[in-house]
Amino acid sequence: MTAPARVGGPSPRDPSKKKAEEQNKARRRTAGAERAYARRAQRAQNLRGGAAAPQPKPASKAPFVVLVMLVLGAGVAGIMYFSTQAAADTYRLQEAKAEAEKLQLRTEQLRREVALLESPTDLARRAGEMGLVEPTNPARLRQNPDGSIEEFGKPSAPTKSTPPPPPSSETPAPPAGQPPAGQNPPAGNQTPPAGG
Amino acid sequence: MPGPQQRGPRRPLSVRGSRPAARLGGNSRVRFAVGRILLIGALVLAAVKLVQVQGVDSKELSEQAKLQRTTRQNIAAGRGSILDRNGNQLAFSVEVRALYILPQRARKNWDAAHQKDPKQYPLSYDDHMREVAKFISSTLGPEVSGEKTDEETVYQQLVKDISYEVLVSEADPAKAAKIVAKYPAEIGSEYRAKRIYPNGELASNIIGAANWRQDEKPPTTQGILGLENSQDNVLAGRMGRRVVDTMSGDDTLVIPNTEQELVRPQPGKSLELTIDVDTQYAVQRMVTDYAKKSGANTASAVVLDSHTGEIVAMANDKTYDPTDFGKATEDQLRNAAVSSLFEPGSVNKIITAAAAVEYGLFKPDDVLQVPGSIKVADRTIKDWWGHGTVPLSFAGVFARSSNVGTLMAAQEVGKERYAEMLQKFGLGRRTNSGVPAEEAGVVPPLNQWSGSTFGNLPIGQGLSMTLLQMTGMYQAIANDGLRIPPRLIRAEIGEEGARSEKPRPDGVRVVSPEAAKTVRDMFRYVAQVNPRDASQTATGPQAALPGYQISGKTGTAQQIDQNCKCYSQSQYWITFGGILPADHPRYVIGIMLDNPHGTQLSGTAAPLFHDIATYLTQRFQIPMSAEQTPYVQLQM
Repeated sequence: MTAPARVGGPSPRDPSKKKAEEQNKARRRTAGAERAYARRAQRAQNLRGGAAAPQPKPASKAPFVVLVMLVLGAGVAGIMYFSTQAAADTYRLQEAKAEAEKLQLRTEQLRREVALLESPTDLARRAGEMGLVEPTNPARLRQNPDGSIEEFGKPSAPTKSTPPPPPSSETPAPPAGQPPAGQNPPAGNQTPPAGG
Repeated sequence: MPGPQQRGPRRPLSVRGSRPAARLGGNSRVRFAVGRILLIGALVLAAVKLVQVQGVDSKELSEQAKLQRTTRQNIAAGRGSILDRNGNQLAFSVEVRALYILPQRARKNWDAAHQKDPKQYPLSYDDHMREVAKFISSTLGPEVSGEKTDEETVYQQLVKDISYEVLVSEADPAKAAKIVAKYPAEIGSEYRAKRIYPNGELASNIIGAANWRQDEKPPTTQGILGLENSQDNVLAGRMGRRVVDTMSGDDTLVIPNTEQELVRPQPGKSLELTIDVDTQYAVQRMVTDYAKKSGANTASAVVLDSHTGEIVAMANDKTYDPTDFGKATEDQLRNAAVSSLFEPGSVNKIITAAAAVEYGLFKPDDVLQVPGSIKVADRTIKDWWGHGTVPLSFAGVFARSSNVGTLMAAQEVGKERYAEMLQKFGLGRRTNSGVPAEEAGVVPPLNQWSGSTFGNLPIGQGLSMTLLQMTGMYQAIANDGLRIPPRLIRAEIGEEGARSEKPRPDGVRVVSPEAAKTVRDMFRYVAQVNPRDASQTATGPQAALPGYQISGKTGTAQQIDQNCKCYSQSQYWITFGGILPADHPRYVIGIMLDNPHGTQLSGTAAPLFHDIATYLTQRFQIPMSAEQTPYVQLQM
């Protein structure tokens, strides 16, 4: 902090007072008091507009205001845009949800149909309607290492009475030379009484 | 608040530059005054409104609020499915809708609208309902799962003088939505779930039945019978809760986009069973067929996987329709394979055979001099065919099913070791297979044996078991002496296919692998036949399966005559336990026929074993045995 020199110069605040008295007083002041006076003097000078630092000319506010208005305007426009978008999206979401629910129900229905159609009960029924029968007593063939074919068991034609197959399809003839159905190997005592 | 004009001189020292007082225009005083007045005005207005809402209009407003406010709702949790071992569905739930009307209210509302605005509502209520009925009937068709929905029936329901009427309880949701969208003021729809059993009666004794219970709070699908009942906690899941805004006093009319989920519903887990539905179907059909052919009261069959003890099929001749179980009889409802106890007869001789081989007492070709009868305590036991003393091989004793020979071997084994063996084979205890309503069977404890008990047990009388237990004994022999308790539930499948396998039960070592193999080989001769010599023909030639070695045992046990409380001479349990194939066991088959009578097939279950085994070889493409069962001398 620089204070103007007191000694030898008149006080800027009170130049008309008696110099001698002032000088006497000044001579009696301590260094701290000196600095306080100096600060007071400087404050007074500042308030009076005494240009310790000259005020710059105020800049024009117009560009700033325009900028703020633009930002605000853009913000409002943005918010409006997004809120319309959000509203539109809500409807789209709602539609999509409804669609998903519909498809879910459709899947469920299809799942149900598939489960019903692939159940063995239904398959057997439809196979029966088409005239298919299950061989209850098939024979088995095995090729031996020497290339010969060995037959195990005697196949018997299915015994089940079946609905007539559709006229267009050929009825597969039972293998020739087969014994009639239900031929089990003859057995001795088959029905033992208690403890058998 | 200090005025701006006084600010300058009193302002404390600041690092900021001072603001010149001259900048504040002269009108700022006015602005502040106006601002204050406006603020105070707004406050006063708010206070006035507050008093009005809270004090003056409070009653009226709370009435209005009641009409339009949030409602708590349950979110249904989907019930888990029941699947077979390959993921085929045995039971599953689908969503349906119940359509209802509040006829009295609908009539009142309609009449009011009709009088007020006859141009827009020209029809009378009845005529209007004709149209509604026509639309409903044409949308749903004439019938929805047993409920009539023809135009006349629906119309009669619509115009009933009643406060609430359900038109149809299992409507397709899409169709229901169409109807409600067209007549939202009259028709309401309500969530329900329907349990579907694609296979109908198949395996219903095991799976059981579940149906929608409207009287439950909250209404839900509940398992009533079988697995659906015993596993209800797993299958049902847990309901969720949500809050919705509903409209004008009608809690079912939800304002869209106001749903708020409080608790997420936890869908039930699915159960994967060890059952193979195709095998189940085939076995079921064969069992039903054979029950008729043999004149049996009841017939059951069980197929186990010999290595894992898994129940591949479990069929009874009597089943019921799970969607209409109210009509089923007691006999149809029970699962005879686990809940009927029977005396096994000669199939039980496998215990004596296993014990005798395990303890090194007999080898298959040892010859026993078997007399015509044997006396145990006060009882004399004979064979099923009359004979003097004959030399039978040890294998022949079982192939010919000699009671006397078996008892001779059992005497060698001794009571203690025999009783221990009964334990190891798992008799007299529940198998804990997971099949509901399982019985434990009765095996007299060793300290309660009377003198003749040891003359009964080895030939399969005087103790009782379920068919599942009986099949389990043969599983032990098929699996090299390690008995794996049978089981029905393989895994639980949670959300997004998260699968948790049920732990495999610990095996019980019954006999050594060598002993098991010897017994298996010995029991192959059950199907031996010699057309010229009946004494070399075994008891179950019809069980033979050309190309495969099979191993098994026939059984015939006398039932107890309720009149004399003695063993009946005319009523029998016919049983069969068998292993397929004997050289590399894959499946174990147990069969029980309750009192077959009056036909040629009444005396044996061997043909049914043959049929089931034939099917299994085809279904699972079981390779043929490298060698056929050799012919041996049964009687020397």
